[in-house]
Formats: sequence, structure tokens, C-alpha cells
Amino acid sequence: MRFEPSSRKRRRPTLTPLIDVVFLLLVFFMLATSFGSEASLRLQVGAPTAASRLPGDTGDTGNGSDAAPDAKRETIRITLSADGRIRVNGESVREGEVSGAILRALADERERPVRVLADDASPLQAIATVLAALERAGAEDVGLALATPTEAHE
Amino acid sequence: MNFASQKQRRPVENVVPLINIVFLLLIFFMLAGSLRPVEPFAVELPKAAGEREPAERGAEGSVLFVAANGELALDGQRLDEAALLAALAARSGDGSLQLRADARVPARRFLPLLGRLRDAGVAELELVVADDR
Repeated sequence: MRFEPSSRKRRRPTLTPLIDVVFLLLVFFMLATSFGSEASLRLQVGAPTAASRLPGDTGDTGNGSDAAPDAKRETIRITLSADGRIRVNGESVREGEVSGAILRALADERERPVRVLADDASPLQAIATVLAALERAGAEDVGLALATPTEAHE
Repeated sequence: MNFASQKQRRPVENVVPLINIVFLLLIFFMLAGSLRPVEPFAVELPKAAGEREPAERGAEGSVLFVAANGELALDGQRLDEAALLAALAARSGDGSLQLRADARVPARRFLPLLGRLRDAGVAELELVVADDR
């Protein structure tokens, strides 16, 4: 150890503890921060969402034959299969084209009912993809439910 | 030559640029990053192009984790479904819940859970996704 004369030591406060603390903070922020940006999707839990069966679902591909008040509006049916594939009104859609397909199906009628029928084993990734596309398209009436086996293989 | 006297004056001065850089890095990480909640288990968020930023959650009982195998945790504490629903029913607040669920959770696990969350008094659910835009 080297002891300096005390008069010299006094002139400038030692910076070492400060540096220690700042390094500690630096390491903390480096480890605790995440740079991948996150977003959120709203899940409408109050509405028919997550109900086991939906009144608008008659098992057909949505020709609006049910007796609902706005029966003239075609229900858009989106089915998710076990391997994560997405079909809009029966047509198979690739992941990158879900948004476009939903926009076309909605055809500027935001209040058109949309029913998402998920296979038992379909991953949340497929649900999130569809919900994000629906949210961007501005769909207002979205129902989300498990598909019965017959619906899943339509 | 008299090195000793030089040495005594220099060491403290040399540290100042270092501190400047470290402070700069510190401020960069503080501003550019975002603190993420402690995850009780690995959760790989689904990728989707969302439009809203997830709300900051500070209140208790406000972040629900769902693992790929269906395990649940509320605010970093693992619990089973019955305990979760009891905890949600008992909490006070605006009834909002942030959901951080793994992308591989099957629908047969996820959708019934949503229904039960609603029954437990959750009015607003926010599904957090990794923004892939």
C-alpha cells in the first residue's frame, strides 16, 4: 500500500466507490432490460368470447341462415387447425397473408360478426396471429371458441 | 528521473473519461431498454403485430403467466388454477389482468381458462405478444 500525504488526499474526493456503484447500476440495467419490443392485444372477455358455443354458429360455412337479428350479415368463420394452420371462410391462408384475407372478408363492414374456431390442439401463436389481424382490421364483433371435431375438419 | 511525484498526480484524473463512458452506457440502458417482469418459468410470447404498448403493471395480482405445459403463475408465484381463481376473486382493483402466455399453449387449455377468468371477475384481459413488425 502506498500512503499519500493527507493534504494531497483531501484535495479530491475518491471516486472509486462512485465508480463501483455506477458499474453496479450499469450491470443491473444491462441484465434487467429487454430490447425486444412488446405489444398487447385486447381479449374481449365480457362479450361472447370464450363461450363454449356461440349462437351464431350453425355449423355451416357462414351463409347467415340463422335467425339472429343481423342475419343478413355473413358471419366470417376463421378456423385454426391443430398444426397452427389458419383458414378464413374455409380457405387455407398462409401466415403472412392472414391480415389481407381478413380485410377482404370483412369488406369494410367492421361490425360483421367474426367467429374464430380453434382446434383443441391449436397453439396460442395461431390465436394471437388471428387476433392481431382482426384488431388491425378493426373487427368489432369477435367470438373465440373451441371448435367441435366436425367443425375442425370442415 | 522522478516518477513518483508524477504518479501521484495522475491516477485520479485518468478515471474521469471512464466514468463519463460508464454513465453514458448507464443512461443508454436506462432509456433504451424496458424492465421486464421476473418470469417464474420460461415463457416464449407469441409473435404478432400488435398496435398498443402493453400497460405498465405495478399493482399486485395483475400479471398472469401461462407456461407451455399449462402451468400458471400470478406475479411470479406459481399456483394451481383453483388458487389462482380464488386470488383473482379476492383482489381489489379495476379487474384488469395482463396475460403473458407461451406461444405453444394449446387452445383446449387457453380458451377454457379465459372463461374461468371472466367468471372470477376479470373484466379486461390484455394478451402480451412479442411485436414482430
